[in-house]
This record gives sequence, structure tokens and C-alpha cells, in this order.
Amino acid sequence: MHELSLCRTLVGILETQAVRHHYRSVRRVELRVGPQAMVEPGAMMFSFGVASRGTLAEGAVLEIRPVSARVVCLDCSHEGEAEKLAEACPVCGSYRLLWEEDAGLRLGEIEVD
Amino acid sequence: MCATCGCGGEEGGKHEHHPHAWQHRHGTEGGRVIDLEADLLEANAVFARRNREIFRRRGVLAVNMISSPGSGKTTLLVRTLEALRDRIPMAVIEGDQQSELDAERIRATGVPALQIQTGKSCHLDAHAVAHALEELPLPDRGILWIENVGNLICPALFDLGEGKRAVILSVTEGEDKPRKYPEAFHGADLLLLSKADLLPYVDFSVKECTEFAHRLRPGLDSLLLSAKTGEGMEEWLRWVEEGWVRAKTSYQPEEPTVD
Repeated sequence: MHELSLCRTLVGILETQAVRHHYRSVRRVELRVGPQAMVEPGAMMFSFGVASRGTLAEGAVLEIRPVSARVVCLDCSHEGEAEKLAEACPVCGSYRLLWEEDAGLRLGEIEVD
Repeated sequence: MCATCGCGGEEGGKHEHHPHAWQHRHGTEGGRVIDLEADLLEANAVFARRNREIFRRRGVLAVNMISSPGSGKTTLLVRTLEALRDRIPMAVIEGDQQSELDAERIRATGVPALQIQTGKSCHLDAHAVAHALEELPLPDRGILWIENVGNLICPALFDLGEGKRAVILSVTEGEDKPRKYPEAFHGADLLLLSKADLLPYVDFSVKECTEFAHRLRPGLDSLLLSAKTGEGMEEWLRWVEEGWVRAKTSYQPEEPTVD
């Protein structure tokens, strides 16, 4: 359950940003999850409930949005996006894809009061 | 308070459970929308970069060993330490949820070991390793072994600042592990198939396993190994030594401080 430590980090960011962006509570949180980030949505939702309790994010809706990652094909140099690991290059069919280094786990839009 | 990060020193899973915690609130009209675009792993990345820089300056090859529980990581590590201890300075960080058992097995080889007990946490992170580096004497121009918590999922997401990441998969676990736990293999530098002496007794296709692992990580090195019979050990030690030779070239002796 690394989701719990991730959610603690998430709530920490929400609290830090509250000072900068002047909000008192969070209604909605968008989490952008790339194919390289191993998070289980159910565990993430549960953990967010636990981690946000008693904070300004308590009761906020957590929206998990899958995003794609940038890849480059090592065989035909095609540059594109992949939605999951072990996908073949859409142009030449090779599995030798080079992935962007970022693990792709980002706090996106938030809706606040 | 600790000097590394200013934390209260209680990292590693002290928390309370509130199982019935949250309720969804519907209808969010009128709220202000802000796009934060904040990386959730940035806090870990900061410590990972710091650890990596320490390893670079000290000329240390740090190897992060990831596997599920019972893959034979500790046995392999003990054999490896025995083979290299006369020539290469080494130290070991052991990650487990509880107990000093693994660190004791390592210390029996004469190599210094520090046990990190992660408590409820299922993985080591760069912050925990940064703390370990305060206590464990780092072997200049040597090898730091980091045996991660036995878990093929969570440790994969946390960069520790290591130079090499080895994923160990025992043949008794089944060849479909790369399909089931892709991230661990996607981020690996080496795939070690352990307990090779048991291959005649299990249905495990080395070919199928490594083929799929290559889809996750093109060019991934793989080795078939048995710590029990010694099969593949020579190849494994060669891989380790190649990494070590490269790592120690970046060693920078510390400048004597002038008063």
C-alpha cells in the first residue's frame, strides 16, 4: 500500500499550496496517472480518505485520470504516446520503445473554496 | 529533529487508521479551479538526487535489489558478499517491515549492515536511505547493496538514488510475473532469475519470461542463477564488477578543510 504514503504527500502539497493560492478547503482533486505509475485506483481512493481526514481536503472528490506517456521507437524513430507498458510501436510494431523518464504521477487540477 | 531533512524522525508508517473516512461531496459548482501540475514523487526525487550525488562523489556503486518475498535475495547477497569481500569494500542496507534477521545474516559475513524497519510501509524510499547513510559507514570506491522490502509492486516507484536496479525473480514464482507487475521490470537494469536449480521441477519458461521483460525494458540484461549450486554466479559477479569499476572512477577525495 504505497498509495497511503503517496496520498500523504498529496495532502501535504494541498496544504502547502493553500497558503500560496489562498483557499480554505478543497472540493475536488484531479490525479493524473501515467502508465509507468503503479497505483491502484481503489487503494488510492481509500488512502486519500484516510490521509485527508481532518485536513482541508477532507471530503474532497478524488478523480483519477489516466494520461499517456511520451515514447520514442528505437527502431523507426517514431515519436508518439503510449497508454500502457509493453505496447508495440504503432508504425513498425517494434517493442523497443524508449520511455520518458518521468513516472507520470501528478496532481493536476484542483477545485477549491 | 533530524539533520538530513528536519523531520521528526518518525518516518516509516506511524499512522492511525480511519477506515470509514470519507464521503463524496457532489455538485462542485462555483469552486475556483487551479492547475497545480505538481509531481507527487518530487519529494522522493529530491532525496534520490542527493543520495545519487553522495554515491557519485564517493565512487560507490549502489545496487537496489527488488523482488517479491522469498525469491532468495538475502541468500544471493550473502554468497555475493563472500565472493567479493576480500577485494571490494561493501556495506548493506536491509529493508524489512520488521526484525533484524536479515541484517544479522549479512553481518555474519563480516560486512557492515544496517537494518531499516519500515513498519507499516511496504517499500524503501530515498528519504529512508538518506537517514541510513548517516549511520552506515559508506564504503568509498566500493559497493552499497540495498535490499528492498520484499515486494514487487511498491518499491518500483521509488528511486533511491541507486546506480543499478536488479530485479530478482525466482523460477518458482512463474514466468508471468513481468506481465503482472510490469513496472518493476520496466525500471530494471538487470533481471536475475534465481533458484535455477529448481527449473526441472517447475513449469517456467525462461524464454517467455525474458521475452516479455524485454518488451518492458528493451535491452534488459538477464541472468539465470542458482545461489545454491553456483550456476550463473560467475556471470552475475562479472555484471556487478563492471558496474563497480565504472562507479569508482567518479570518486573525489574530500578536500581537507582549512581553518
